[in-house]
Amino acid sequence: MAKIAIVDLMFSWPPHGGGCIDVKETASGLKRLGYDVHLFAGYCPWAWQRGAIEENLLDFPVHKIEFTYASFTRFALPKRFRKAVDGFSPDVVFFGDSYFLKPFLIEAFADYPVVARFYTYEVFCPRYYMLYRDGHTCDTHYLESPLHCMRCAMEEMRYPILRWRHDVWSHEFVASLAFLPGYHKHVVSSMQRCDAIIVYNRMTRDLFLPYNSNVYVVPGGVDIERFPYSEPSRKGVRDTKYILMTGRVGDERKGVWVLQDAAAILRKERDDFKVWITHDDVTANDDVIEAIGWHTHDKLPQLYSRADICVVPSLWPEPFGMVAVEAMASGRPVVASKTGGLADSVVDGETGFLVPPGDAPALADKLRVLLDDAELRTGMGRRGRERVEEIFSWPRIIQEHYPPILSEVMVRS
Amino acid sequence: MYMEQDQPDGLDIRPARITLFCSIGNHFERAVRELKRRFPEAALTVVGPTWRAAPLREAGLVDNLVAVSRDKLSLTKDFRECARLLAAIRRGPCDLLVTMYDSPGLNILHSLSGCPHHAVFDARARFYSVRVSRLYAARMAVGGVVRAILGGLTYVLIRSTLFLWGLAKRRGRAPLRRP
Repeated sequence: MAKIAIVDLMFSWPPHGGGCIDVKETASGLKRLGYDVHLFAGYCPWAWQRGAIEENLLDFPVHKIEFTYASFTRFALPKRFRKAVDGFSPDVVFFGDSYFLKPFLIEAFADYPVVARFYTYEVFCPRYYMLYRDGHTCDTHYLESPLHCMRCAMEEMRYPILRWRHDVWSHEFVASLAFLPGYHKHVVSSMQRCDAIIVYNRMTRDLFLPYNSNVYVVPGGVDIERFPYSEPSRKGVRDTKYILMTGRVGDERKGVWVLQDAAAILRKERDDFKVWITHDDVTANDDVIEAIGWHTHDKLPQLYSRADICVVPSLWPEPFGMVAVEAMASGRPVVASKTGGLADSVVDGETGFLVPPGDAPALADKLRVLLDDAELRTGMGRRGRERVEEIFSWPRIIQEHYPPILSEVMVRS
Repeated sequence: MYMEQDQPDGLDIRPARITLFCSIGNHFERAVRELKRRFPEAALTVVGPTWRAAPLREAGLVDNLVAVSRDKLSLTKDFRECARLLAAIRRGPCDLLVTMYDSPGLNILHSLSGCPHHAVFDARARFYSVRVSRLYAARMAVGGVVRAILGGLTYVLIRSTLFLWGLAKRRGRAPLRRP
């Protein structure tokens, strides 16, 4: 079977985020399918997140490449990775998570078949990969308007840079000299060089298509055994139903105020519901909204089982929207914003409803429909679970998407 | 030089006056409740934004409030505000300074506050004392100045690059090649 080298600058295990989980599941899944998978991870003991790996917890070989502060640059880093990967002589090089240095890494492996996975809008938005500003998705991006986007990014990165207290994002920004006009050329040529680009949703695919025609949408996955299906409790018209919003509710981009406004609209006409938000700040509490505190990932299945409806009112285009898929796996109907990956994972009218981002009256309308109809809640929840089992379980994702992409890349190269 | 100890070993004191420095983190209310539970006799002063502390003051959990004008303070941007807060903490005075996470900046704050003990109540609800020598705090302060110089130079370099880039673009000589 083919040899796959996964190159990642952000990997840590236990994971610090969804990108790490995706890389780990991909590597483990490919190994189970018979591929010889080795992970090459950047290791910076002086930087949080980079390469803090407990190798005994992983079922594939890991090569940690250690960097000092001085060697973590666009010049030295690709050479170090190239030297390490050449020793393995892989058939395909797969690029996992990294930000501004990814184009230089891709260019360094130009003579290998290259597959690059993008986890969010990292090449399109230098302002913390969000493609979002002031409540709206941006109508331009870095590849179209590089100077405009760099100025916008500097507003956000001003303080980490001024104080020389870098997070991983601003650190790579400086290390890659991404503020130079020539960086744009490296990004475009590296995009064109990739034999395959893998993204989470159709919106990101459409952004990549002018630069590379081999773009594949592969969704993220969820551990369906951790989120068991449970039928919502049969509640009568007057029983209190619980509407749940999970995740980083305090993050302005998650749109909790849209849910607050929608709840206020509904409160004028009914009192048979309550809204739970996973937030510690009790000042958000009123007679409808209840901040139930931050819930760790292991407590979420229990929380979903107690809720009747789940809401994901995100304002920014979530690349994947893990919470929506977890709620669907738990058998709950989801009302989500029609943006980014949420528009792909939730099927409008089947597993929940999609509403325009930031539209509180539309959200209230859909919640009203679900609050009034117990059969609809149960039916949508059941179809949501079926959809997750069909599309979003890790073994299925790996088995259905990756072997065809890898074979095509190897044949084409 | 630098050590952390878990409760109860690290906090075997009975403070009469506690100052809680409220900064980023949404575990603020938990920190207040935990302090009140552990030290019911102690007077609790909160240094933080009014919108966060006022409801707890009304609930009788906070004795004094030193209001901060902004949620996030920057030492360079809000220097006067930082100096005012430090003066308020020193005027206190307090036996125990509690912060919501541990960082070199907060260690320096503790060194300047005149408070004999420093403890952290972090986002994972761990409560531990922090002991940092004055030498360590001084090294941190010098490191901060060096970083500020490096950061300032980098920032000027980036800003000048973007300025020149903009200028070149206005004159129709943008150094970019569209794909």
